[in-house]
Amino acid sequence: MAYTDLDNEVVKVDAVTFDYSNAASPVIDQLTLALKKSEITFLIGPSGSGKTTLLKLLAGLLEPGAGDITIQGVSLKRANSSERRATLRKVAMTFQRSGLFDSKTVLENLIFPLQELNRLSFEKALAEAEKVLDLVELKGHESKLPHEVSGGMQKRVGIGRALALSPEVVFYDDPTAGLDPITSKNIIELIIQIQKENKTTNLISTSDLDLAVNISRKIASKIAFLFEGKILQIGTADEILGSINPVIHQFTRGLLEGPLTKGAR
Amino acid sequence: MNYFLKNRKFRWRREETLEQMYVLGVQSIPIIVVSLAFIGLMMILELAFHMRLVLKHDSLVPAFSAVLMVRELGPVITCLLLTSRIGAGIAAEIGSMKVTEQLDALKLLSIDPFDYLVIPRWIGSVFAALSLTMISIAVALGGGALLAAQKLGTSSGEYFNTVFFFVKFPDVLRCLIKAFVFGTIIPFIASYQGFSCELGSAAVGEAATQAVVRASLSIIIADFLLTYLFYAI
Repeated sequence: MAYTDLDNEVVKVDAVTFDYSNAASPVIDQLTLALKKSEITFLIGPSGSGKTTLLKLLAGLLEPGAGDITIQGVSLKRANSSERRATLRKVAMTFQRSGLFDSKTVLENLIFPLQELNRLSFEKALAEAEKVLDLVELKGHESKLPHEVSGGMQKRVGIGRALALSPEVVFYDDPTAGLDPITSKNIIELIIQIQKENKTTNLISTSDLDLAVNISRKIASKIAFLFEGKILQIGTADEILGSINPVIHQFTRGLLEGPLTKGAR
Repeated sequence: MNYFLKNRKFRWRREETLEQMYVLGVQSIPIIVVSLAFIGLMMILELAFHMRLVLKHDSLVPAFSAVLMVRELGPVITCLLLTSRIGAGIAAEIGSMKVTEQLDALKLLSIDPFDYLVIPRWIGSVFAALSLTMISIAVALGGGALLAAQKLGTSSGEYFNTVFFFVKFPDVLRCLIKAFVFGTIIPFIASYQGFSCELGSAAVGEAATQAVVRASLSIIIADFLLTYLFYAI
């Protein structure tokens, strides 16, 4: 099935189920979701709800046990290996722990994918990497190793590396995890600025409800609430905040009593 | 295991391979050469003592020590020492790459971690095992010649004449086959431990320990099987 503009859903998740071999219940359970072209969607939910697993499934790093994922009209399940590779080359992901190659400098982390995937010469890859360095405001830090820069800078390098290959779909796995509120806001602002320039389709997972709500209101994006491997609700920030679902209600209000903490106390 | 066996297109990675040859081979020279030199000296002393005790003469000490060194101790001790030096390092490096999501980042870039991480380490390890075995045997024999001159009164000429009379080309070939097999065992077991490492720093330590234990055991078992095979054919 070819992708057309009539079908504005760039990423479709159709009844996907996934479980780790040692897990008692599926981490992702019959999950259905669609991401529209050039939109930012926030994915929120409590820790352990399956956010990272879902992003890894979407990026092709994990294989669903059941169901299918379609990216730009190409079913990852039915595509042959070259179609699948070509489709996944349009997808990028940033990792919660940054996933930077710790033996390579900041600049080498950006050059590496350009040389490996785009087969660019060193000079061309360097020129491209320097543009990305400018974009993520890391000029002056290019010769440092990942552990020599701050957590916020590591996230920026991760974002830069993801964007170096000009992806059409980007998944951000908790890009503000462990960062102070100002750095978190800067990172999200950077993601929004990049999205506006490149018109990418983005899914941003976060546990930071306030940040997701504030940004979602500002750019009129949607929030999807994930719990026990299922999307409980998708809607605007106000719809999520006003949800009568007891799980979402407890999460958004930060209540100690409720289904999320049942049996935990 | 499917991960290791599935169809793959290998890409020659010159820089990574040369780096691994340096890290695994060249940087292992001091510990292995010094260790084998002292093992060679100790062997001369032990053989001389027991030969005098039982046979009442020690003229065959150079022959026995050289044959034992080329057939067994050279490749086995070298590769056991290599296991402790590089096996833990490979498992810990790959394990920590898994924990810090670097392996996922490689896969996302359509880079096969096996191709990128294991093949250069395999070539580096085989290079290290073959070259260090030869170097350490040469050093052990050289040290043995000096000690034999001191303790047994055997001149260097006599020593090496005896050595070359008893050590034949098939012995050297078998020694190289063993070194190749052991040099292959180390990175594959260590990489497997790294790839199958659980998340967490304790798990990385456990993967490193298991890599050394399993690779050492595998080398000892493989040595027996190869020796059995060589005598059978």
